[in-house]
Amino acid sequence: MTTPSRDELELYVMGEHENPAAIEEALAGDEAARAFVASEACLETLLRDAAAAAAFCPGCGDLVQGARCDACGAALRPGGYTVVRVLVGNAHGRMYIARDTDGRQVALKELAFVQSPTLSAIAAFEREAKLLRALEHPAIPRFVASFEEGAGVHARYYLAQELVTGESLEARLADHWFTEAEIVDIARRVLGVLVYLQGLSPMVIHRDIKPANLLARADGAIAVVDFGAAHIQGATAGSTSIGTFGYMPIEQLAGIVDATTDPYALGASLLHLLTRREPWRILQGASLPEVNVSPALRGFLGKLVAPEPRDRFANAAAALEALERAARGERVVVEAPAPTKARKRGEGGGWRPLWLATAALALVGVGAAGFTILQRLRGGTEDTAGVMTVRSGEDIGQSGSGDGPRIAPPWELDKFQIHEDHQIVPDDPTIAEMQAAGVSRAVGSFKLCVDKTGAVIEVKRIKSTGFPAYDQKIQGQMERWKYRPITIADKPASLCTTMTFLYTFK
Amino acid sequence: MRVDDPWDEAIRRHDRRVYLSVLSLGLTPERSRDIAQAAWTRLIEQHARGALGELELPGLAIRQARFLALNELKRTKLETRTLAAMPDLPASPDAERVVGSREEIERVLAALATCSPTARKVFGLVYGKPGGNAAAAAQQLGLSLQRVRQILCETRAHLRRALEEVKP
Repeated sequence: MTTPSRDELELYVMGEHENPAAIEEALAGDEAARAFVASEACLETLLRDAAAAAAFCPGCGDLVQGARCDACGAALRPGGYTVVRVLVGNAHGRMYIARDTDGRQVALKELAFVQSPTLSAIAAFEREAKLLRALEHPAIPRFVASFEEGAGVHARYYLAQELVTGESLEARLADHWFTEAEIVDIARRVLGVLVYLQGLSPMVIHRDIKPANLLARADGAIAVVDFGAAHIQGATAGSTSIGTFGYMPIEQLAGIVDATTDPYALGASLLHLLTRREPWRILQGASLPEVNVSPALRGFLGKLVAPEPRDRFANAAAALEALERAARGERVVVEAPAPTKARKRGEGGGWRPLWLATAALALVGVGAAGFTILQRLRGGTEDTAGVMTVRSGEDIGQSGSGDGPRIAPPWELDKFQIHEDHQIVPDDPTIAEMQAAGVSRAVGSFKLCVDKTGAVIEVKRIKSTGFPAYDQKIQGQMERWKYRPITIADKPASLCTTMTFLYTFK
Repeated sequence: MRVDDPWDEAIRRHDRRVYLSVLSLGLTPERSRDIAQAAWTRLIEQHARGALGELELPGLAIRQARFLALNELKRTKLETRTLAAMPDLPASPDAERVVGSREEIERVLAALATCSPTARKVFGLVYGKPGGNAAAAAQQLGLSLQRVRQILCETRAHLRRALEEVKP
């Protein structure tokens, strides 16, 4: 073989040459080439030593010269743990897989803050750590440690938990069709965990049950993970409002949670697994979507996701008991709810979807299954965009009857809207009034009707925000909203809807 | 001789490093490979006899291989530019040389910090991971193998220049 070029010799030393045998043959009789290879091997050895001494980001792979990657912000060795991999990351923090000094792997959750955390934020973190430390259930990851690093805007709070290996039910949906037997099994296992949580004193509410937070382990067990949203009854009220759009019941948006909240989210999750459609798409009509399951299971699911808390199972234990009956083929009795004004008017009851407008929501994660909403309210831990107004709406039925206005969900009416702003912020005196009253949110619902020419013909308060001035402002602005002429299936139509306004402030 | 799995794993992870350390002494690739293999064999035997305390790898294997290589170079009276600089029995690293290496490593890392983010990532994936190579880096970064090799060569050239600049 002819004398190899320097480039070829370099590639050989790097272990990247396509034909190393040919290079070695040439080297046997070429002392100059061998000397060059020896020199390159020295460099190669030095580079490997340098790489061994260096730190590379477990998230983006870049060279790290401090405690944290300058490129992506991932930590390297928080609290003595060595980060192995970054599982997920967003503006609020990250989830790492890390190793402790004994080589054991843990799931390490990092909370970050855009502004210096307040005392109440620190208290909330400590409460969560205390809660996790107290939990002891084979389907809940064991608490390992909690600690903090840094100060001010550099503060980072960490929770280390047992690393649960398994596939989330959300991921499993990609290539698996769940059978009725599997759904019953998942429901039984998760309800078992919820019964445990609700049996604690004070009761613990997970608040973010969804397929992404249910991990199927290799042995078939289901682990319930991510207690970052967990709520201790009577302890954290008013500090945060957390949940995942589509899975949480509507009242959770206003921070109202009780023993029916998690079973509702479980029901929504099970329907997602069964139908492969996100709950916010299917929990809209007056009845459950078509699901190919036994009547007994259908009744059970219907009661889990009943729109009114009073129509649901009272708690997880009652749901579990009913599930066992349903598994035996017994029908679940769905008690008829008390008639509401809407029903009396013939507008129908049924499942009310939560609808969110394009307001400044702090979206923690966006996935196929829906939106995870993390609203930090005043006294909460961080960092939504200051004052925030969320307009939401709810469907009050599928359609009207006769020649009267058709009842529609808010987004249907939105298609015809001309005006540009959905957000209606209370005036300063009202905000001062709220602050004086120690209220961090106001929720009110209004009926809106628009005729076929696009003129607003009715705005009616259904539920007051609790602040008359704010009610008047909302009502006044809604009356000035402008719409294009409305057509449904190419025919002029009048539409009515109900819109719910949620105003929160830090 | 039976080779236990941990040794298989250790050889898989560190053999290239041991081989390069011998090759850098100017031996032929074939002899370098034989010596690297002999070094591993000796370590496994010593370990089986309980003659080794703490197994510090790949340092122990490298020292063993270089010891064998230097013996061979002495025996054949082969002159190499590195022979005179090496201790007779490199069982423990020479203090001066270690300090020199540290300085060189710091220079390499300082020069690496001035490379592009992609070059730094390629470097980390190829040199910073056990069994790392251009193909794995290409797959992880979504680049072609040829492009990764090109980046590697450019980075090496940059680092080589940085090392040569400070040499007297």
